[in-house]
Amino acid sequence: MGRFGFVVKRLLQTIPMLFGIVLVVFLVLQITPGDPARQIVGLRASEAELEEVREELGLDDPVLVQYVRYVGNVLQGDLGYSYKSRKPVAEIIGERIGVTVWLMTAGLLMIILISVPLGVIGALRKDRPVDHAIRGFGLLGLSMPSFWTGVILLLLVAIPTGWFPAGGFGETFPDKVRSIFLPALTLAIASSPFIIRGLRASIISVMESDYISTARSIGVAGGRLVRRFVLRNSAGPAVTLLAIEMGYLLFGAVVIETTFALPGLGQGLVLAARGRDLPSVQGYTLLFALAVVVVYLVSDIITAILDPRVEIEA
Amino acid sequence: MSGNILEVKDLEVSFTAHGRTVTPVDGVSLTVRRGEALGIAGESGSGKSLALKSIIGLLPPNAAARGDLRYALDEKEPIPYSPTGVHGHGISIIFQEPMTALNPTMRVGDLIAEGPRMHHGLDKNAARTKAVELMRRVGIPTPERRAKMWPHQLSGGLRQRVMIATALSTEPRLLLCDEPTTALDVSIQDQILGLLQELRTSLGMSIIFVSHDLAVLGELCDRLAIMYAGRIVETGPTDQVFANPRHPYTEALMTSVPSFDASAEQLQGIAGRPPDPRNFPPGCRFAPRCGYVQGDCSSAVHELRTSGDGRATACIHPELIEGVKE
Repeated sequence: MGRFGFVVKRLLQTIPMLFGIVLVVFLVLQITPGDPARQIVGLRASEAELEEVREELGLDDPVLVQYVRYVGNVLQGDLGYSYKSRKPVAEIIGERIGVTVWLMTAGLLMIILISVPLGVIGALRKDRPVDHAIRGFGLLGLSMPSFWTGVILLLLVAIPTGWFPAGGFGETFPDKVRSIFLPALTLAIASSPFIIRGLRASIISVMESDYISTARSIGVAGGRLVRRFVLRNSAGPAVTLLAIEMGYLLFGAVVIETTFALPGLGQGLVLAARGRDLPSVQGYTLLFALAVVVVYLVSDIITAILDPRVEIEA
Repeated sequence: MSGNILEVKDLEVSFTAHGRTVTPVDGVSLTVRRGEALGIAGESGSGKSLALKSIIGLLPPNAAARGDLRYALDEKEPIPYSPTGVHGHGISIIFQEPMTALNPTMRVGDLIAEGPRMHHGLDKNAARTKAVELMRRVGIPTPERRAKMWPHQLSGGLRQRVMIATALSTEPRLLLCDEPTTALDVSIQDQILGLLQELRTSLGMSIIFVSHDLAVLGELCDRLAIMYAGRIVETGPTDQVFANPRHPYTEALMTSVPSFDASAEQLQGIAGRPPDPRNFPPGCRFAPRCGYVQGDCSSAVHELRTSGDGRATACIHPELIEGVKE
């Protein structure tokens, strides 16, 4: 079957998962207190107006019928209309998704750039001062809440130097990079310690394995040993850890986009929730859940590519 | 010119934890001649594997080794060397478990090509050709195809052949074997032993072969060193040691090997357990389990006494065993 087979199998497994997610998101809206029609027409509207909106949205239909209709709409990319702006939710999400993709990509890149060298150094200098220092800074990064880290970076870096905007998202590419740098760094400060610890632990266990002795015995040492024998074997657990972190990061984006006034999905979710704009909240929730599924899928595929043995377990 | 390729004197390997030091290898001395196969026999925990690994600097990081190690490069006299500096230069090692000894995320051809690429400055293609050549040399069928395979796609016997090809890739003069046949089926064991024997003769390589299996050692080795509780208790030419052991431990080891004409009930073990390195008995360390034990054994000073016939024993009463024999 091979690794290609594993990837196909893994893709097929996500389909029932997607239906489950849509079901949960749908049900959450059903059990949320309050009448959506009343939300739209306002408190002073007449009973007739209310009934008209109910009819239009199909709110009087049986739940099952509503669910089938919802699934059908979602499959066609129709996420309903915002109660606030009356614009399609899909369009609102489309306007905001770019910023969040930028933030996630930059954050991921920064986490990798920080974690890989520090994880390797920590493992190779295990229990030496450097290792303790890395662990100490990691603990510090873990203990600082993102909104606080973000504010501190704004106060101590963005404002005195003027290199980075204090908020908002740029139009041109260099401006985008500048406006995403500090938010991405905030993400990385909170998440890198996990990845560093995970990578350090898996490198230490790889270093004790027989094939490292084999490599050493034929004279492989230093950077070559790390590159050709250690990294690929210890990357698997770190990639899985990173995927789990990415799930949290998406929700961390809610805080960070608010702190840095970035017009992304996280900020959109906060605004929608504050305005009780249920279709929008539903749309954001669905998208975040889908993103987590995709991240896990990608991480499994990367793990399969890294480890040739995956095919026998699939 | 001395005919020795390796001389080890008073080798000690110790671990220190929580302020206590244990010394599982406690004063091992041995020599290996050019082209010779030396077998080291002993139970698990006798320190044989640690002694072997300290020759090539592959001890775990919390272990400390002391002693005088000399190695003869080319045709010169043995000179002191640094065990970690010898990697890839004249000494290679093969391990017990060929699955865990091969990098699971590296194609076997690439692994074998590592040595030639680094030490002979070959480019990628030349090194790959060399790897296929080495694979053919160690008897791997269709080496071009198998070079592209991952370790888990090969059988145990083929993996051990890949391991041997990897060890040979640095053109060693001395090959250390750490129980390389223990994890294999008996029929595969024979093939691997045959291969090692053939390589040794055709390449003029020396071998140190560590095993608990006397039958395996008997097939390959010219000389034996019997290890017990961190020390060598007897050395001598294999056939003579087998025919006429001069240490009670050697004799006990040999009677515990099952033979075809012995029924299951007659299978003999050695009474008692190997001593704990944290708490070695005083004097002769085998004395508490020895059938010939005398009053002065527990105060005996460990020393390998050489006799004129190239044999040596640490037993202070070897006449007792020989008395029984004759």
